[in-house]
Amino acid sequence: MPDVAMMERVLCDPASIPDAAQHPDWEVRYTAAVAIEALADPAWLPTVLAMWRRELARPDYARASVRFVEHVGDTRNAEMIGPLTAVFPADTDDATRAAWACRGRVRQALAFAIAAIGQCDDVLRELLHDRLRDVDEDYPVKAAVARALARVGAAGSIAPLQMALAMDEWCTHTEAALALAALAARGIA
Amino acid sequence: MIDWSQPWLIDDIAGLRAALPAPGASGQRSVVWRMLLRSARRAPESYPWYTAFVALITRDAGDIARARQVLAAYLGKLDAVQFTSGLQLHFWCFAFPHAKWSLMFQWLCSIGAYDDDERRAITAQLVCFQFTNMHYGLRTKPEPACVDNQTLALALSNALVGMVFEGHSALAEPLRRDGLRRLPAILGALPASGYSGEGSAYMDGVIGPAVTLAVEVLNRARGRDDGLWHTPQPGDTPPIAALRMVAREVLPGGLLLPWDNYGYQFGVRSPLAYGAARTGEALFFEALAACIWSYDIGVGWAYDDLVWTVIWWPAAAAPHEQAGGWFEEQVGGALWSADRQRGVVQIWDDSAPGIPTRAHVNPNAVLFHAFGVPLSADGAADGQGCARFAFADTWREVSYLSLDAPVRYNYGDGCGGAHSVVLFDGWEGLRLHQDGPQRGVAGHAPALLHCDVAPFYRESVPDVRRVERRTLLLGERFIVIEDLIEAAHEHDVTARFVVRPELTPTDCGVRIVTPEGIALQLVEVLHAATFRCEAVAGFPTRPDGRSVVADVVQRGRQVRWLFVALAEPTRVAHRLTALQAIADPAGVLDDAHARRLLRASPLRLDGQLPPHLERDLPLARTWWYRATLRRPAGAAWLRLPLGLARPRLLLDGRPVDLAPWASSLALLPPDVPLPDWLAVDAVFELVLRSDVPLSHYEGGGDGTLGLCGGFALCLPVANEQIRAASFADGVLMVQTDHALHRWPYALLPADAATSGG
Repeated sequence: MPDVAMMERVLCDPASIPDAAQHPDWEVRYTAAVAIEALADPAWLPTVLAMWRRELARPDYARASVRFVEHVGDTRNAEMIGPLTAVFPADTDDATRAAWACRGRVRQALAFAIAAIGQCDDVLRELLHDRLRDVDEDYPVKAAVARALARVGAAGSIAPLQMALAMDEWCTHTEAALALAALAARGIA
Repeated sequence: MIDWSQPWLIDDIAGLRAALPAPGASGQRSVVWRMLLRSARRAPESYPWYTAFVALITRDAGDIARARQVLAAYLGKLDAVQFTSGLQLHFWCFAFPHAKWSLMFQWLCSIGAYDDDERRAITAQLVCFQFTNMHYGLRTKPEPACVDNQTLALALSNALVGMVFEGHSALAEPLRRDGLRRLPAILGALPASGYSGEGSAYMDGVIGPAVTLAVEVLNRARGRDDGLWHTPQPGDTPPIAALRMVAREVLPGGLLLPWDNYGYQFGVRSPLAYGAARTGEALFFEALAACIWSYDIGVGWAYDDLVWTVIWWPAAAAPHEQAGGWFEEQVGGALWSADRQRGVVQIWDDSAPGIPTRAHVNPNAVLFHAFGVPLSADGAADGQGCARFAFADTWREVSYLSLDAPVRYNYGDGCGGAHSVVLFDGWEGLRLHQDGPQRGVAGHAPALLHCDVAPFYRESVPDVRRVERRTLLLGERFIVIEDLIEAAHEHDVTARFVVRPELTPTDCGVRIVTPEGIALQLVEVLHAATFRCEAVAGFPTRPDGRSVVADVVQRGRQVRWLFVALAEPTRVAHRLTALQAIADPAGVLDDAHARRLLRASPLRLDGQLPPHLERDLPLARTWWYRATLRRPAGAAWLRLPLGLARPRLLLDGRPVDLAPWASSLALLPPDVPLPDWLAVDAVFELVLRSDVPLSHYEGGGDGTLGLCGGFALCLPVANEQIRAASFADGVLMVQTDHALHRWPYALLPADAATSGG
């Protein structure tokens, strides 16, 4: 179990965000990003940037390789009570396991935080663009990034958003279409 | 904050506790309650979704212990679930079950099943999992653009868990806030018809069950009780619209309307019970009466449909009036005879542009249904696809929903050619590439439906002006379909009907007789057009794994057809009851041994439900039934129960091959012809073996069906066939081998500019 007490504290006490942003439990870091989103204060942008960089430095989750005992398929597994046992490759360390469980959750929450703040610098913006360009990134992250770019996008955002628009996945191309329309409405084309 | 001393979302727990276990309680609700009780007590690990409710009602220490064990097992799997592609990429499937377990945990707390420390620890685990997975999932869905079953499940899940744990964890607040904000917006944005466009599977399995709980949650959040009729923004669609559509999808006989991707299947019951209890409308009572009870399926990926059915069972009796047909301007309509034995559905719901995998291309498709049996074929091929409809340009590869290899499939069976629609210039891959209007005027009158779907076709046939279809039910028996197609230029126009096998000879039109003995004859009146018939293998998967395509083709700028259809039963059923029965717990009895034991067995069963659900009998996988009956002269059939598994039929000890019914017996009872080697007037022995499910989950995710419906001996019955049909001087005449039928009839007015075509 993650540190649920810390997660609860972060939502109620902004002073705990800096610690939470570096917490070893991804659930706590995710909560920190959600808390920053709620505050919508540009003062937190340096924290957001630092969190982005740390998240990008964590083990890759695009190549997660987990087998299961008793697994019966994606949808049916939702209906089953258990048991379910995950079997990891022998050399899988704790950080990698955490990355495979978390996947893009913290990244998504950070993108929403940027959207709520409504501004960012070129460095953060380029990090957002990279998420759209990365073919291996999960669609919840891409969709959130597109939503953020609707608020903070610039001319350089057009090309990555057009890549997202071409994606087969509905949430991503819907958010990309909305973002491109929002940028066009602001005269960015 | 909710009161944790009372089970949340249950109005009258004291009334339920008094009524359900009452000695001598009768009626369908009591039957279902006893099924829940027996299942939860005998095999809690196989029927986990019943355990908490059973404990809540009985407050029996053993029942509470079983429910605690099940909840512990659920909590125990959550860590491993995090690594599944299911939770990561199909999070909506996990949202509804998690909310249900959170609710059932609250129920168990209301009867003191946990101490304070346990309650705090489980609360933390449940709310944390919700926050990091389902709240994340809800936020993934674009707001407010995304209105579908997935987002509804996510919003409801967050609202429900947020309200359950409000005041118990700070993590609950964003769940409650965002869930309650998005939930009414999603409900209000459903189309005015209430149909989400995703087919019966999602209307029945997710939308309906979610709407009922959403109404209950929102009523409590608002402190009101009118949520079913409340018209939330932005679309002002009241939730009752969706519930009515769920009930309309239930066809006489219990199967659901097969529109869109999932074809015929059985439906859920709790939204029908809820609708009947809250509205008293005949529509819900009729649909509830058509349900079968040996079927279990996840509602929102949770197998608690029967639990909510018991909770919401209507106290009042069904109203005297009949529901009749229905019409929805955006969707279609149905015409039913007063006895609901004959009917037709005409649908013009929107088809999905681009890739029609869920909302199929079926503009103005008609579906025939009679005597509780589907006569039209619709749905989809299995995972192997159907070569006949696997067009070269309808392949798709999907990689974003799996952590493994991409999935490649052909969506040609979602295109127009696999449906009973009009086709232009032989293009069977008919589909849209862009959003746009799909229909013109739609209307109805008593026993009449019509719609012009020319706007749909204009993307591919720009000069088309009119593609109108009008459907009527005449004399409570005859279905009339008139097509009028007008275009600026000549086209080869096809009216296609996709029907169930078997094609049988007729001297007028085309005629099929289904394996259940229901005949459908279809005749073209104006041109005495000849049908070009083709057997299609592999489509749709159910019920038959094959179908018959019957086309009429004509070239012109204006094409008009007038079809008359007549459905008739060709057999009459004589029910067989009180068959001798034995359990075969190991499933290993050979024929001779089973027959010996059967002959001596005092146990008598009707085969209306799996034995352990029908009576207080042991939980056993395999059962054998026996009856003796006299062989009548001429053709005769044995009607076996629906939902047989691993069946073996012996007639006087000789096995009968049931392979022809291998796919259909999951939806329809097999009618097995009596072989000629049984001597006329001789008494013969019928022995049937079948397995029955011993768990929620045996249906492989598509619902779990146990045998039901009983046995019957079916004998031929005289049936009426059309010998000729004509139209002249405003009169439609149909000559059958029984009578001459005449109706005044006015053809659809044509456009003079194209009438020379």
